[in-house]
Amino acid sequence: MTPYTHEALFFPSSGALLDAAVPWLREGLQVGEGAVLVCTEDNNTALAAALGEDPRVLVLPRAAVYRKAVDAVAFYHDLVTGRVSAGQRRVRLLGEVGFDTRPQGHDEWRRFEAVCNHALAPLPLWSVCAYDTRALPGPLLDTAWLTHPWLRADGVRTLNGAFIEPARLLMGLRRPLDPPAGAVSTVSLTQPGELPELRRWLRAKLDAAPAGAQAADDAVLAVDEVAANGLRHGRPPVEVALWLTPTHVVCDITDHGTGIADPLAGYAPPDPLQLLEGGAGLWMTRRLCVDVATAWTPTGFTVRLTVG
Amino acid sequence: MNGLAQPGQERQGHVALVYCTPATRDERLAEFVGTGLQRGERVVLMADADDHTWQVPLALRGVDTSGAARDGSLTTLDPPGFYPAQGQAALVDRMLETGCPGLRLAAHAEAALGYLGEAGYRRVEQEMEHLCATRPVTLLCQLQAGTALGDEPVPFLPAVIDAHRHALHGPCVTIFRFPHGVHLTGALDLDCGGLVEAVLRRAGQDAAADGVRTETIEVDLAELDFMDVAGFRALLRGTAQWRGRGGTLVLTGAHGLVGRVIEIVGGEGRGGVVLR
Repeated sequence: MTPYTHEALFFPSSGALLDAAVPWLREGLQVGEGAVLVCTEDNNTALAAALGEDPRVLVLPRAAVYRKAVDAVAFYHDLVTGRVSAGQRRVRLLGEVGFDTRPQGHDEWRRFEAVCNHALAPLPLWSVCAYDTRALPGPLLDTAWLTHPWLRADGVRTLNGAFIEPARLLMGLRRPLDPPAGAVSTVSLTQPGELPELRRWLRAKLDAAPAGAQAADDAVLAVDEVAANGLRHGRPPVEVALWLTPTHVVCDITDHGTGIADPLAGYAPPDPLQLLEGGAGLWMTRRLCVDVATAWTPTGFTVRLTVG
Repeated sequence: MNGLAQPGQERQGHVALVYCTPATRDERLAEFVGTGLQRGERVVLMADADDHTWQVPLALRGVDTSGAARDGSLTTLDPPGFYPAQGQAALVDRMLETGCPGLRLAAHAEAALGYLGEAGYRRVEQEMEHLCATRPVTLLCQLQAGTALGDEPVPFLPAVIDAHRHALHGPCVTIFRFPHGVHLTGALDLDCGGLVEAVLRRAGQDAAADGVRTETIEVDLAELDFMDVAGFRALLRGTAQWRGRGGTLVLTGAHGLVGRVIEIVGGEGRGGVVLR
């Protein structure tokens, strides 16, 4: 089984994209590999037509896949494992930038492109990420250079010298945490026996949260998980600070240990057979939250969860 | 609902409480004793005659210990009195003859095991199981042990687990055994994970020792309202050996947050784990 291959393709026009991508996708179909398109609507339509509306080509709108980095990783993970168990040897995926174009969106796209190298590594997936050089802003084109081990041009793959190790790139995306934007409630834990009390406390605080019942459920689960992790692997006391915004539940969980050193932790789907070893909690937390940020302060290590 | 069963809702009269902190024990014991006294039952605690340390924690939690001691509804027996040579039936029947509507007994498993030895303890617990099923008797056995995932197991835990198939209370979870499975109520989190893991391990050993070949262990999650990843890991760890021998862990009734954890973390359909 060929493992993950991650290439960037720069294109100046839709015609150029078709010229580069169609023969590559067709070649895959001919040898029994899958083909998936996750491009702009116009490009999806043009590519599908050029491939003769082949029913084996899966065409997806970008909005169905790209909400945040871990969700996209989970989507591709499930898609490829499903296709492999259905008998495909490999999946060829052509995708275009899909997160929103605000600066936070740029960061999240960079995170996604970086973590793919690690999170999808064991999968028989060959993805070509297509970057529109006319339409995309400079930071996104930079992302293409920094996150792809390979470049594709004129039907040939070459090594990308500008590629940066994903862990290093992610460390560079860490931002200091803003001060809380709302009235803060706090509680402190010293041992796992206090987790049920923490959950009751959260429930009471979130009962009427404007973010809604689903956000309340997700927040209880995510905060419990991070607090339990702090009690187990960090150093107590674990301090929980919660505040509500009109749209989100935000919670800082601080312990006094050394924190989570690996910036890639929790970005890869847990291997069910390795669940005994740990590491699944942060993956779940990232799935449940809109954002998971970490920071070191003089007194400890803080995980900030944003849910809603 | 993480407490002991409410009056009238007790599934079985023979229950165990495994706790890590004395505060948890005191709270549950006060509830147990208070409920009995309220109903006019006789309550007997296992304690040495000169040991009064149990009184203050109960009184602080609203149990009228001095009043109950005065009118004889609350008494203590030392281990030889609690476990008479003639057997438990003699003791229980003598107390019930006084005309009270029921009898509540509370004992420390560690003291009982120390006095009776493991084989004796298992025999007495079996007799108590029968007495609780045939007479208005409730027995609460308490054992102090780490219940969190990763805690070092205490040597007495397997004997206590085996003796209390019907209701084993942890700090926030209650475990009911049935043939080839367990039913969980409450919350399965990091703090209870070690206890649930230990029970599943016993269930796997039982199933392996069973004359009839059993291929599955079922964990009924229908009445579980919370589970975190450590809790889920406890289910996997507790059945790892069993699954390694070709057995299957069947998870049933997962819903709400519990279902969400399984869905996100995965594990279903691989390594002998099936969701139903």
